[in-house]
Amino acid sequence: MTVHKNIMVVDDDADLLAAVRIVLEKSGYKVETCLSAKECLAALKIFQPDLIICDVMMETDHSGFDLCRELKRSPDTKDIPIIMLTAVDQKYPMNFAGASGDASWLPIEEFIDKPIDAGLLLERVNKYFA
Amino acid sequence: MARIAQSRTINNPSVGKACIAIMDQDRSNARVVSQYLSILGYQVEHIQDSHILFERIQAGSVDVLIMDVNKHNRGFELIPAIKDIDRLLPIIIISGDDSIEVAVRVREQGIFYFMMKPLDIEEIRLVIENALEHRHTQGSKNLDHARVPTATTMGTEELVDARQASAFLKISARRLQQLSRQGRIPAVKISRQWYYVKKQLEQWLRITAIADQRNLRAVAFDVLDDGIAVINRKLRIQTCNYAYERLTACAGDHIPGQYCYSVNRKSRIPCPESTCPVRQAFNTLKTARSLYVDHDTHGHKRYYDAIALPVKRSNGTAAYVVEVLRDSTALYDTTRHLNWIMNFFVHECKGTLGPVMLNISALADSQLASKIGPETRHSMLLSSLCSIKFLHDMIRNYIVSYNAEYGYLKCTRRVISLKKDIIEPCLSEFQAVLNKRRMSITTTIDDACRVCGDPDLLKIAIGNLVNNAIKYGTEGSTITCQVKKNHDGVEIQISNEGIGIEPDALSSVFERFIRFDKVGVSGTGLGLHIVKKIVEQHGGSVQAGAGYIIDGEYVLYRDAPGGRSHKKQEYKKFAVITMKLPRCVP
Repeated sequence: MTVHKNIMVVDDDADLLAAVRIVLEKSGYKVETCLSAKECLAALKIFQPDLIICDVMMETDHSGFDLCRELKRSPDTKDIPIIMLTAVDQKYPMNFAGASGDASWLPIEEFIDKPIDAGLLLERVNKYFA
Repeated sequence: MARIAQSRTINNPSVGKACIAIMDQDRSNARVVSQYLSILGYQVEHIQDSHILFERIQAGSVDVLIMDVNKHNRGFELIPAIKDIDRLLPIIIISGDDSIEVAVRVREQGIFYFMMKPLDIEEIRLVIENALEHRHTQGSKNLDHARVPTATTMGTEELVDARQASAFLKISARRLQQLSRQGRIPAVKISRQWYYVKKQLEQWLRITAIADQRNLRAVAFDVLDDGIAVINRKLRIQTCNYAYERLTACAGDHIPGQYCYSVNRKSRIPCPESTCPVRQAFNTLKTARSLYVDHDTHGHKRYYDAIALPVKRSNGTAAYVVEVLRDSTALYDTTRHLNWIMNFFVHECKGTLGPVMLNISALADSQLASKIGPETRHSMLLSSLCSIKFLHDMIRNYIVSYNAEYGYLKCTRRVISLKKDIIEPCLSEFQAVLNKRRMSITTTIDDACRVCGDPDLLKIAIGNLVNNAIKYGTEGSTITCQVKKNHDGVEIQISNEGIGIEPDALSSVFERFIRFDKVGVSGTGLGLHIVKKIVEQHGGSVQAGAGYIIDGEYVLYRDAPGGRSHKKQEYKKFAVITMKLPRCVP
């Protein structure tokens, strides 16, 4: 197992952040959590993550998308893989592209549906550090 | 006219903004009309000089123009100049002069409506409402495409002689002459010949039909809620009922000959041949369907289902198509709303289950669990428990809301102790959540305080208030629950320090599915709505308040020094919900 890899988790649900933190930390990762996209952008100036796990609906219904686009545009952060962990189901008729005003709305590596169990989450995360 | 007067009214909240200019030499008439319109809430200006009129129109401060026209003042000569300035300004002509010359001259100019004096006040009201609706819909069209069909060519077409009129009305020439002489049909005698305006004949037919019991079909046709029109190959309306007229946003004055709904609205909704139900029906000789999306005067979306049925001739071709327009907005809105609720509910459920699933699965995983200490394990279980409690409350709120909405909420009242039966069991339910957020509740309540109510419902109401106070409260702070007894009942006040409620949001917090963007807070948007419903069932009332905590004192925004403008960042905010229950009647 790879140790001391940095993971940043962005979600507006403090309970979920706490749970993800426990699971990842106990598996040897260093975890930084942020409650909003804004907080994440500020934290990125001092924290260099190797992976970002991000929610969709935070301050607004699509602030997660906006954040991901911004990260992928910036030369400093564009190489950091992003996992989107969200309860927004792609199968339901929610128009992501329309909400974010951008047809190429998914500038991320992976999409994980909430709720997820600890084993599956670790499996997905470990994949990036194999 | 009788047809218009008996029609339903259109509620128009934008009335206050609309400005109506009246140009009439007859001062007393203008005064009566402007007084009446002012009562209705319109802004009215009586203009006597055409220069002032042009200035007003140029400035865009006229929404509808009412103009008196007769042979002497030759007001119709002003119309082209007015149209040059504002092509889409609805012009309503009133005239005491019933000569054909005036009628024809006015119609040539493409006006919105023509009324004869003496004026029917109800008719004026309806015409103005229609004109404003028309102006709104036409005004927002792209001018490049807006080749709005006007009555220009119809003015002369509409004028028919006695022979044509008798053919149209299917009555003998003699009978027609008799009716005309007796003044029972609108007609004008010009050099010993009777002339008729076709539209007026049509109206006369309708009115007669309504009076004439033998023609009930026409009555049924005209009072239907669905718009029905017979449309010819040139996509022009041959005849239609009142509902269709309303949908095409034209007053009844020049409907026949107008383009059908889809073409009339084409600059807004492109209706290419492939989606035009009328043309499809003509071409395929089969029933065609389509959905139109439009906007009403207030900018709300309206959905119209259109069904076009070809009327076949014996040789197999179609001469006409009957178009039925049904306003399905309510249906679409309900479906969309239900979809939205479903999505929202699913999202909240999944979001809430997220930490539960992670926590429990981590504890169940032997490898991970071995690394988790007892304290962390406890906090993980506590967090899961809270999430499950939240989920339970959310599902319950949906059920209560549904029952309240459909009147199924059963309220079985009996005399109960507010402290023992309601507050204490309710607070114990929240103990885990309170512990998790390191919050506490102080209650001030008299043991003997009794109310007459349904214990289950009141527990739900108080529970929702406590839940909100915890959710939106500052971690580690104290929630206060105060019960005061006064002469007309019991007042329960729950206040918390936290993000508070914005002053302009105070009035809407009790509405269904109201949720303000709050970071890290999930919810159904139903909690406070249910509180209100339950309290109302008990004959009580609820009120929301918010303000600053200044030196430990809870000061409402309105009482804060400097009022609402007093937005000092250093003060903590609080929210308070006051629930009043009527006096216990044993």
